[in-house]
Amino acid sequence: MLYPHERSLVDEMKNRPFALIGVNSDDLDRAQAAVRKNEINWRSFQNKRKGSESSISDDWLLYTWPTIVVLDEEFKVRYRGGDCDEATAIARRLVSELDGKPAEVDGQ
Amino acid sequence: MFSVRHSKEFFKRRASGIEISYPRIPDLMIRRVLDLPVRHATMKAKLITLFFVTSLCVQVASGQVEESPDQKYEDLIAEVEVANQAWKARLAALREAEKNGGASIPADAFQSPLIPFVAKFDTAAKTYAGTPDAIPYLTWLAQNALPMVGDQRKAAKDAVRTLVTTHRKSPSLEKLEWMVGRLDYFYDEKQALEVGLQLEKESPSSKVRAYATFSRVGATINKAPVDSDDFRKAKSEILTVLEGVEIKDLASSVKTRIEMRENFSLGMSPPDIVGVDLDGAEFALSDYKGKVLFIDFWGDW
Repeated sequence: MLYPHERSLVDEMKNRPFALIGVNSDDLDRAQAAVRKNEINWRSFQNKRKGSESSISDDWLLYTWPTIVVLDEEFKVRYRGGDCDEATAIARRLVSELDGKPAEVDGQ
Repeated sequence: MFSVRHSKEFFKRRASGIEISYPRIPDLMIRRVLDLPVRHATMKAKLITLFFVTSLCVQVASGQVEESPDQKYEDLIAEVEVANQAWKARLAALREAEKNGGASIPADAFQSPLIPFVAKFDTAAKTYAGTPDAIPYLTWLAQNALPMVGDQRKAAKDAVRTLVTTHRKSPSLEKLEWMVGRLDYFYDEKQALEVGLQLEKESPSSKVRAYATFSRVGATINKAPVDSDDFRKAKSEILTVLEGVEIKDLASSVKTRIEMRENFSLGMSPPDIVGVDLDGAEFALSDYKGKVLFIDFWGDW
């Protein structure tokens, strides 16, 4: 379960050039219940768009769930895959390069 | 219609010792019929035809007359169908029994009924080796035995290899579809390239040629850096080939793969996302440009 890790990442990156954005594939009721239950503190798109046949994951050619994509400040892909630890390490390094503050390392 | 004159020819040929390739009719019966008066000519002809047909049936049944390769293939396919139906019926009965509290379905009940037929198709393919008559048998092996294991799988792979080399000019290769597009599955890299190039050059089917081109450039599309000349050349080649043929699955899979590599390779920019959040408010991913974005495609599973 990624929720606790992601919650703490959002807290850690508060006031830094970082945003965690979700794309949720559940129906709306279930997604909203999950947000309340797991104290999810980041914003999510609804994957399926009303009135559109294609979903966000279709547009992004994404067929595996969960998947994490890390984009740098220029909107370029720096990571795409399912390894949360690797994605987090890359995001921390990029944020650190951007604001000059040292990147944190898990477990320290 | 079998005629009296024809039967005289029959006797003449037999007397001269020439091999008679059609069914022989017992002499006594023929003589009795021939002795009938001229006014019974129609009856004569009918009787001789009857003898001929009866004799033919007896000889086919006793294996004296060789079936044509096409007929053999049809018979074998009919046998497969019978076995398939019996397998389905048995499985359905076992499922029903299990549902009603009976014994669990034994593992062997799930075994493909096609397995015993692989050797039969393989033998027939070898009987007609090198001739077009082998093609239906080889195609059946390729289409049905590849998911199997051991000797059956080997027979299927050998069948594909024979088809794409010995029978490379046959339009039947269209039935192999993805197999021609993945020659690396059947050969090492060098051989796959050679066989593919030969198919691109010699196959009369534009579909087969397109699959063969994909087989040659697929790895470059998948692995070469998207800004490299190799990638650009491979992309242009396969898209050009696919423009001229109707292979929907291959075309969409190739286009998706290229798009994915071009848009989602490291260093590339994906399309913006514009949508609504879980409260229904509209927003765009590009609203966050300038920040590092950690995008999680998630669900509450």
